[in-house]
Amino acid sequence: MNIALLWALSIFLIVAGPFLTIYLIWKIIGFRGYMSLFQFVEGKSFLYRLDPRVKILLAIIITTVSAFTIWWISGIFLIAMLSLYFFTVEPMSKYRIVVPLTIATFLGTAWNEAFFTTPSLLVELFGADNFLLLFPSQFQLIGAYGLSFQGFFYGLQIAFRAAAAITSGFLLVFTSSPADILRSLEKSKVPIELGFALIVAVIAIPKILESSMTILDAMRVRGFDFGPAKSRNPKVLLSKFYQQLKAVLMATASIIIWTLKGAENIAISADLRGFRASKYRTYYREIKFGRQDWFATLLLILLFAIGVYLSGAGYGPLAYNPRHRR
Amino acid sequence: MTKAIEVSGVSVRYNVNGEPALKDVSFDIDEGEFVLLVGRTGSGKSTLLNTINGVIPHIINAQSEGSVRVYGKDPKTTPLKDLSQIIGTVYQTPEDQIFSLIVEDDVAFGPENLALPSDEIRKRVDDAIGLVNLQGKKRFPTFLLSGGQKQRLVIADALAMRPKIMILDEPTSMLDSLGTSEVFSTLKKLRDEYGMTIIMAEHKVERVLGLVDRLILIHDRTVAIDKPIRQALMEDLNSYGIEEPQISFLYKKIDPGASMAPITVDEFLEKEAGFASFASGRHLQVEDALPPSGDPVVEFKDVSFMYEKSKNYVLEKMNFVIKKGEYVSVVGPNGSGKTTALRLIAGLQKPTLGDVRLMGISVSKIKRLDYSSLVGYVFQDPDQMLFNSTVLAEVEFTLRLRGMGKKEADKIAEGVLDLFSLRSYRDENPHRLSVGQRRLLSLAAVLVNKPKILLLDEPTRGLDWRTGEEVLDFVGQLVREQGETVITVSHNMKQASDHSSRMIVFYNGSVVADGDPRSVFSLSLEHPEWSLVPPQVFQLSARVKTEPAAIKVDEIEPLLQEYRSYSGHRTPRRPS
Repeated sequence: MNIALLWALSIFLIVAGPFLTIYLIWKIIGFRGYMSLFQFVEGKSFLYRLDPRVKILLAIIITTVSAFTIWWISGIFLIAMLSLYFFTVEPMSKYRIVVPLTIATFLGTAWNEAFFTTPSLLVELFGADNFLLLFPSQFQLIGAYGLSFQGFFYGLQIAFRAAAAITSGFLLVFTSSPADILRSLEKSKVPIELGFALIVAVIAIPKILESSMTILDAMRVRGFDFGPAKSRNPKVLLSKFYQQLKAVLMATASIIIWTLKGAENIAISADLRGFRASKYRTYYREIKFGRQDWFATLLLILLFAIGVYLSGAGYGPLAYNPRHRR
Repeated sequence: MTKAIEVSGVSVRYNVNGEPALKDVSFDIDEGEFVLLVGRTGSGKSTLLNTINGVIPHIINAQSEGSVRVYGKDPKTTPLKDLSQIIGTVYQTPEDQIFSLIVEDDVAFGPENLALPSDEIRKRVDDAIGLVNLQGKKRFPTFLLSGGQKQRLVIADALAMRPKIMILDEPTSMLDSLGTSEVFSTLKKLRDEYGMTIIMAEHKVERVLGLVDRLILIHDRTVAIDKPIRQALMEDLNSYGIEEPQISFLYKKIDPGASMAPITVDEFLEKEAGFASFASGRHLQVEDALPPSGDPVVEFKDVSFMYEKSKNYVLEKMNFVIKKGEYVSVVGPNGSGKTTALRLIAGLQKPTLGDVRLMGISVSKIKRLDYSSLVGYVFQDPDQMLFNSTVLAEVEFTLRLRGMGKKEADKIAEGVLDLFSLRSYRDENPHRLSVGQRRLLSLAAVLVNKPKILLLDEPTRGLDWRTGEEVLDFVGQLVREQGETVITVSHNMKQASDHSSRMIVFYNGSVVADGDPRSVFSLSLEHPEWSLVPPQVFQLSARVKTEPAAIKVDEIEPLLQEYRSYSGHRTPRRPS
């Protein structure tokens, strides 16, 4: 193959993965969908009655057990988690966000693993590495080798783990109010400063997104064209790319400046409302660890134990090979 | 009367060798008083408020002399958490004062920090939310509230600490007109029903007239005027750069020696009972702008617009033509489509149906870079337009995009900076300038491209009156001398009638009135739903039925002079 073409194709394949993922998420979920992630709506099912700490534990256990067991166990987790969403308020609206996210995670993870898994590992796992396309050798510096059937297959299996972890995490976000998560963390002796910083960061995100839109508009109004270049001359394309990169950097710098300016005011108004004034805080809503919380915790510990057992019994995190079972 | 706040001989310096930010300030405030603090940007109002609530020296470092007492306590030595239970503070930007995603959680934040029992927290949350009228939004996400609702939430946050005093530092400067009224009516309730002591720094004097008891004017870093509001209005506030309500301004023409000024049209007519019959039917010398004769510059032809995935039209079948050299104010309630119309003209959005034409060319056919020399658009918040690292680079941005050389661009940019007296700041970061200077810079960065059409979205928001007038005078000059076409979105009817030659009223996405300010105001009297409040001078003039009704102070002034000599009793009295 022509070496220039190979380079171009290689760069495209590597870069397109993450961008495609982000683009897909953005296109499918959109700004409103993203905002709705933080729009906690109260419900009545058992999911909502559970202490946030149990749900944090759920996410941790699902993630760790997925990591040390075979891929189809993560697959079971994924299905289980997705069925739990059925017990949320307006489950359809939750699925509309979680399903595309899961698919995007799948594609993104599989895509990247396909390029970045070393041939030696693939040979170890599958006994073969049938590369459809080998990247130029310089790419090995960043750990990219090429596109192989085995790599992609391995990527898919890893993707199951990532998807199980993500869906269990969103279950927490959808069924506990952020303030309750904060309160329960504090009760578990997590420093209030840390929780406060997290919450302020989450709140700042919609504002930052909005400001970014405005500043990009401001650039357009002052003559900056974000549209695609209407030329095939590489020189023009490159200078266009450079200009767009510069514009994005400029916008980012401004946004950081505003955010820092705001941070000082945030500190002042937090102190004016007695932040860190007492050694301990009390809570607007009492959070008690009830009987069903203990029950759920017990189940989770059991799940963990089963995971450990399965992993030892030959269902460890090794990749499944349809032809070559180890 | 119990003293809520006692300030005596207070001077503050941020820098040991620097200029003082406040010099020898003294006053007392009684319990239950509502004090309006006025002064130009940078006069020291915020420093004063931060000295009273303890932010200086507890959080912001500064050297202060003299004494401040808040219910007998010295803010310097009282811990901030105790002070915050005496004084609640509300600043300009609501987003910087909200820390939770849900309304009730945010209100609970303070009481939780004080480690109060849960029952007490719940009671305080309910009370505070009720006081600011957000009951229906208790479990609502904070970031989806409107500006006015957010600032009411911030007030509730402060109230949950059960303070006796509220300090507000320009609480409405980031809000639109509706949000501003919401905040003011909340404050009125706090004062009337709960006897709260309130100090508020605010530029919109006319809008708080029925609310405040007393006015303190800070000029040149010290107290220049400290009087009950009606007496304070007899002073020449304009000379301090503060907006005077038109009614008291007019009254001073009749009776300069009076001790107290009326604040409403009704009060004016009550005080000057003879004026109504004197002025009724009298002809006023007025000059209305001639109907525009230039070429059409902006044309809306059956323009409808809706956002993607939305079902409602923001603009519906909108038609109007704006000609060269017109200065048009677009007015109307929130959500009537004003900003959307500007965005369509600027090419940031495309019409769903119909056609927007600039100089006869459909906007869809105009290239982005050509746009900047055709339309200059200054956003509501100037900060969002400044993204370069120096003032000079900000002004040069578009010139450089067009491929102009550095030397040539420098020369043109410096010329424009001279025009706005910003040249000495050329190498500063734009974000280090004052609010007024940032506004001027955003205007400079747009005008350097010599756009044929200038779009201004609430160009004076957040500015003090004098600075706002300076900006508008500058724009007026562009129209007169260079035939610039200006379209501005405004909520300030006085500015709209003083500066523009034509008003277009938007209501529910349609144009409901279009004409010179005088005829639009006359029509608006029959349409309260437009929520246009004509300037006081028009209200007075329409009430006494002059021919035609005046829209500017100088139109009715000769009549007042005549009335003064006619009624004869107006030999200047000694000021009391």
